[in-house]
Amino acid sequence: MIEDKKVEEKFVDATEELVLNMGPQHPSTHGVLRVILKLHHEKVVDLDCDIGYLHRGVEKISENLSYKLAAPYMDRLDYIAAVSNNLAYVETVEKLIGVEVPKKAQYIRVILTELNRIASHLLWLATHALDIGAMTVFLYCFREREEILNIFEMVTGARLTTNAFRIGGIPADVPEGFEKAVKDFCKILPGRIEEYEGLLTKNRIWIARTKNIGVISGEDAIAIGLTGPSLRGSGVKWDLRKAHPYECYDEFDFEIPTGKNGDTYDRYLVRLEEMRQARKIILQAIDGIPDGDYMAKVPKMLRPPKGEVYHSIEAPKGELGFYIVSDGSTKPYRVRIKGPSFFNLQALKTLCVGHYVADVVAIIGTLDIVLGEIDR
Amino acid sequence: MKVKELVSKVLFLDLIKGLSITLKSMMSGAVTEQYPKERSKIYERFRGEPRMGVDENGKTKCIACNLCAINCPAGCITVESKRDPETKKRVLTRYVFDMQRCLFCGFCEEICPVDCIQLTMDYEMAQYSRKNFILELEQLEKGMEKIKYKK
Repeated sequence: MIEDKKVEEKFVDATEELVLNMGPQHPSTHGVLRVILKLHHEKVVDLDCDIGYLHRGVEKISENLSYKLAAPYMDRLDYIAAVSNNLAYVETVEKLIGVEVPKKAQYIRVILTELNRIASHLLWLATHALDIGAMTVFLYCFREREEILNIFEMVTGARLTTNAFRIGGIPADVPEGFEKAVKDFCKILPGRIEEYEGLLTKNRIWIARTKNIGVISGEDAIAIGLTGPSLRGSGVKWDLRKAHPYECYDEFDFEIPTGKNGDTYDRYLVRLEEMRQARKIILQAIDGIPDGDYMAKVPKMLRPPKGEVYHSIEAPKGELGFYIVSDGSTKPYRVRIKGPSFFNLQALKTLCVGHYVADVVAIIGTLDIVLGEIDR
Repeated sequence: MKVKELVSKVLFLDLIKGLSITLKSMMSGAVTEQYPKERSKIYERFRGEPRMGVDENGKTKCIACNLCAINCPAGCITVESKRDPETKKRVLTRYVFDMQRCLFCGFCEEICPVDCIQLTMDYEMAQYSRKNFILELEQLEKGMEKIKYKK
């Protein structure tokens, strides 16, 4: 009897709260993110994120470069959606100097950014599914992403860090075969999305791992500052492409998909639907590319007037904004980057508390963070 | 609806659907490239290894205008020049390209007034030593040294 009691005491000791380090080198943290978990049994009680392992000082670097030269560095923030990052920076500078971009350049910009949105979501789906255990989807998604990267290589000359746009337009007209490549891709995409859906949407393991995991209500999501698909998964219909149309998004007909419950499963459905909507925009844009110039007249050395400007776009991961202060010289006085991943990561604690350790992996995946942009 | 869900769960319809998709892809051919044996298609605009152009006489096209060095975000280009006392023109004395710092953004290529520096379609740039990445004019004209492996 006495021995039994000892065993019991031992058990009580063993169920103390345990602090567990997840990362910085963990396959499911998509970069170098350290999550300090406080566990009770296998459930998360508290957690804290340690970021900054990938800090390069992009904001400071761009203060020491002229406006045009800082653009390639912006590709390296969220390297999965380099085109969107470049677009946000370039548009902000255009707003600062007051340049009107030719219609043709706007259309091509929209096509490339939407292709990038699909590529980003494909990579998200691939890694998210891989984290949860569906390896097949990973391979399938990379197969389609390859097609998009080929299009990027054809148009911009690089596959990942594309440096696709210049202040005032695009560096060169699209090459021959671009239209066909984009149309071919748009033709195969719906079938491929069906494949992912066939593998995941009804799959009992997928449903068990994602439904009612990481639930957040719309109000909480807004309070934390979630943007992008993570916010729309909670049923908030907010998309900057509709709310503050930039480029020529107001000319296209598309819908903003939203979820109902705000769980991981809904965010998955929202992103899949977003890929379909992006395809719809691309098809409308590719048929309507107007003739004309692709580059506006911009002085070789930019000297914007004194002042400040904020401009944001809907990047694949959420609202990506740039705040630039100009002191009238050739270099910006201050460049502040409001990246979506950083704000989306703030929701991690709210989403994780009360769930199992294995679900933390799923929740980090569903937020779709890229550490290159969080640490800057 | 509930009955339908139950039936599909009991009969493993969701898993069978997934398996049928994987089986279908198994039957279709491979999509991967067998890299060393099979070269991937590189598009014309690809920004790869830098190369300096030469004119018909084998002399460098570079006019030492220094625009590429000014327009490099990473500052990886160094141009040294002196003024020729007879023709009063700038003459290139040294041109160094530090590949370790290069972003492959293509600004140098765009700005060059005589189409001298170009980012070519070559993409195999791995080297064993760091000092091999600091390219002088001579190397930039004929390309980086590449190691050809045989089986």
